[in-house]
Amino acid sequence: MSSGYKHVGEFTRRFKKALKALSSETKERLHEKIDELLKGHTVGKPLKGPYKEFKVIRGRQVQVGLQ
Amino acid sequence: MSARLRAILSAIPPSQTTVLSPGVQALRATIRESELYSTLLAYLKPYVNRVLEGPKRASAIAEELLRDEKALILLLHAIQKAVLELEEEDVIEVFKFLHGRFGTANIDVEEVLDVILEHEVWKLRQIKRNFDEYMMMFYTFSTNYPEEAYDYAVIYFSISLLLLASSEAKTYEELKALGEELDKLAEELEAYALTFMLMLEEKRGGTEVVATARTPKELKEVLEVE
Repeated sequence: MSSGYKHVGEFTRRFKKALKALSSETKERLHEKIDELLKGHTVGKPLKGPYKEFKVIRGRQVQVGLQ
Repeated sequence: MSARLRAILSAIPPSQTTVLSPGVQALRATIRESELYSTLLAYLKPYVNRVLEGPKRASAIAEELLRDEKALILLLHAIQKAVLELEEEDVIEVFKFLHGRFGTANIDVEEVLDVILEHEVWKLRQIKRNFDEYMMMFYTFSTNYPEEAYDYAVIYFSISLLLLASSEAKTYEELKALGEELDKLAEELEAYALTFMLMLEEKRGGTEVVATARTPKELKEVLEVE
């Protein structure tokens, strides 16, 4: 699918719940970061222990995980 | 924070204000009143001075600290005291002081300090409200990944020493060098903090997937943005 992302974004119940408390400005920044992540434009830094396969990217007040 | 505590904090000159570790052990008013904190600070002083002279060596110096039994006993007791006495607001207040310390020198460590603060507040909250689950998570992590658990301890105490040193810094160059090292270590601390958060979340079933995004349109729908 040409309009699709390189990766599939999966969102947890806790993420959806936390989303409700965010300002529209923070949501926009979050959108920007996840968009980059799903397009494969950002690699991210690995987490530790059992989550070595997960990555985190940093942005002011934004943390996004990718498996 | 009470008016009394605020007045005490503002009355302490900068040279006497310091933190014992990032946040949890750091209530400046208590430090001045507590023999335990005073003893610990005096004991840590040579470590802090060395970090101030060479921030890039913070991790190596923290490893020495972890082999120092006297320091560990003092730290253990100071951490217990801090957990008993401190609230989240106190930790936030300490970080406001640190923001000000770097901010007045125009050194941008805002994001770095926020990462450390988030870790401290989250950890304090778990210890106070969710002790068993948090400790068992940490025990599981330490037994399954002992090298990483050690690495986490080194990073944590390196940051503690760097923050202590930032209270002692006299020049812009010293503060800047400390800020640069904090930046590197905070990134590592963040990876550990998020790992611990995920481990606890998974145990509580908070990682169940409820939405997916395969296209930009789907992502906007999930995030509720225009």
